[in-house]
Amino acid sequence: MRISFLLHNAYGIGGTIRTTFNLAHALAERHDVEIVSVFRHRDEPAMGAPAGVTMKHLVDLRKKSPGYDGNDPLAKLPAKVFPRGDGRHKQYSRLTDVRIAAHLSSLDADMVVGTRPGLNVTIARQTRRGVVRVGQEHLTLDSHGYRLRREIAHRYTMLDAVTTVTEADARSYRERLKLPGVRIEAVPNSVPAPAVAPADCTSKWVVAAGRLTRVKRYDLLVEAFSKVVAARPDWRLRIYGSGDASGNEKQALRALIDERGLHNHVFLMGPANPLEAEWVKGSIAAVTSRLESFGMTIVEAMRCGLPVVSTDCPHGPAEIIEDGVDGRLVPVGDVDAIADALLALIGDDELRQRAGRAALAASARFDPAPIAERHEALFTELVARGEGARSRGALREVLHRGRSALYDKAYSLRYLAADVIRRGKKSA
Amino acid sequence: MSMPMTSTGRPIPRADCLAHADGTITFDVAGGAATGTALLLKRRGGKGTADELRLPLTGSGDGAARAVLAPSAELAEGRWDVCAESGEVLESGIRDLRAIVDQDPVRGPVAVRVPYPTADGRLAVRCWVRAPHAEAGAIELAPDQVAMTVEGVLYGAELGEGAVARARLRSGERVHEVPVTGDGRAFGFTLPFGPLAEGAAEEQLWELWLRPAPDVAEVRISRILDDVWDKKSIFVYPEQRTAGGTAAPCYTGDNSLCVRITTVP
Repeated sequence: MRISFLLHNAYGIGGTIRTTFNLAHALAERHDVEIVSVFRHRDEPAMGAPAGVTMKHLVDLRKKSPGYDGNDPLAKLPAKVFPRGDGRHKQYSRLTDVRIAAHLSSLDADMVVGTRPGLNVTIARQTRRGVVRVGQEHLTLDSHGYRLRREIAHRYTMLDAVTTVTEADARSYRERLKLPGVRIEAVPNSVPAPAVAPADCTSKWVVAAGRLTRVKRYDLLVEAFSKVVAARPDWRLRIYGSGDASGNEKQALRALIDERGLHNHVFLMGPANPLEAEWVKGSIAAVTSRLESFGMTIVEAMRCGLPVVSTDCPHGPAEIIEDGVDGRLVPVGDVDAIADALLALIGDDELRQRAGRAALAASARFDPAPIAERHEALFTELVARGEGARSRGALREVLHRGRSALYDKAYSLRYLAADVIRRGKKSA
Repeated sequence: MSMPMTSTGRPIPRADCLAHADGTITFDVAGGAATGTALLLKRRGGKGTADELRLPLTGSGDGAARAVLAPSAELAEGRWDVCAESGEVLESGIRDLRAIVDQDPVRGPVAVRVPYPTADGRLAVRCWVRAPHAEAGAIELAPDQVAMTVEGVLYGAELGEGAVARARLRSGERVHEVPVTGDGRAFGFTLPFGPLAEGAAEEQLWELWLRPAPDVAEVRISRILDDVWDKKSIFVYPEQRTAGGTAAPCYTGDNSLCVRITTVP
């Protein structure tokens, strides 16, 4: 197969980029794979180019490059095709619209794979006939704003398949949207085997890692650890990570640690990369989030041989952890339940070490090879639906185009009305 | 995954480290061909022959090479940069330091070696050599008494009659002394902040020393028996109110224990 990925920016750093690189690299063993980056702002990908994969870009933002596109007048005009509901809309322009359209309408591939909603919408609208269209959801349907969800509901009808990272999110897509004929499938993110030997779960450390933002609810973990320390003062907690653009809880957490007198037991370690050498210093990993689109840190910790105590928050944890076997799932926001689950593992060395070994074994299913195989199986099936499916697709396309035009009007009217109502509410 | 380049466009060689419980550190260098036949450890600021150590690299066949820093090798206290034989720096890779997270040396001088990445990602090794050594442990704060209680472990010396902990003003002659209690290797003392804060006109840093017996040399109280090479911003303690400002224990960039006194104008 010739597979073409469309990525916002392959030259930055982030979870979607890493996941796409892992998948493209694995697929490239048997297929012709390219990654097309809408933007390019540096010479080399910051995360290292995946071997065997062709890298292309559509808009060059390197000021020193002879192909620099920043001075193009179209780059100053707002994008019309790339949807406004996508959080990246401001970075897109008429220039990206034109370049993406030219790319998609002349695509020399069997299949195109979008990696964020705005690009999936664009792919649905502009890919030439005969190319299979897959839209990947790396976050969740719920996490998108009203405007983007409307756009997804309306445009994803023209995709062949949508992949999510959890079954829970796949259910949302199936149940809350009407996407007839669109294959919706969950394929989890992959995590490579760590370069370090797994933890033996004998140290007296609990480890947590992630951005220090509200959604991670580290305040609950600190509160829970206060109860842990009361029973087991010989155990301590390390929290790795720093704030990001959406917030920084470090000062609030520092204050909470001081208030609870936990300065000998709870440590804010700052950022660490890679984390694998830090996970293996611990015997238990803890995740107390309110929301995890997938739960990458849970898988990372398990691949290092740690049992994970996690809140059973939407969407990922329950699909990763087998409660009572390789970790524990506790109710969201329940400090006592978090503390009890930690203490149960702390108090029973044999149980903890057995759970750690179970976590190591169970997390092998997230290895890049089997995950890539699942994508590959789906892709192969979609492409093999062949002419019949394509003509059905084409028929669907004609029908949808007809419906599309109607939708467009009704949609914009409805949208306008909703917008007016919301604005009215805000000013009231 | 990133691969920084040298000015000549060659990838900077990268070294992974593995710390062993006996104090051995192994360096595994990827792109071994680029590094020559040895690694060089150079003490920052040092000029003498003892400030450079050559560790032979032995190939493992697949382009990777390994160097071993034995516990018996002599490395003076300080920061040692890890370089290729050409003098070229190495990128800090994965540092598996689980074996040194909770150290409790049994005998001999306390020699701690923690591989760490410098601010720009180069590999270095932080070394401490102490004989004797006073390791700080838990610090309890008693807000109602405006004091702190320090627990610790003394290595390489015996606590005698008349053991004291001394707070010494870093930029001055003032010393404040409190008695130390001991139980085997364990020591403990309570230091009231009031006398330190008395008459302070600006921020003051008081260094903490342990004198195990009246006629022996003082030992700097530090916290070095783990993998945290820079504790300043990680081992942080709540501030206590004093008559004229605040007081709090803190660690220096060398992981030595201090009390910081601030005044509120």
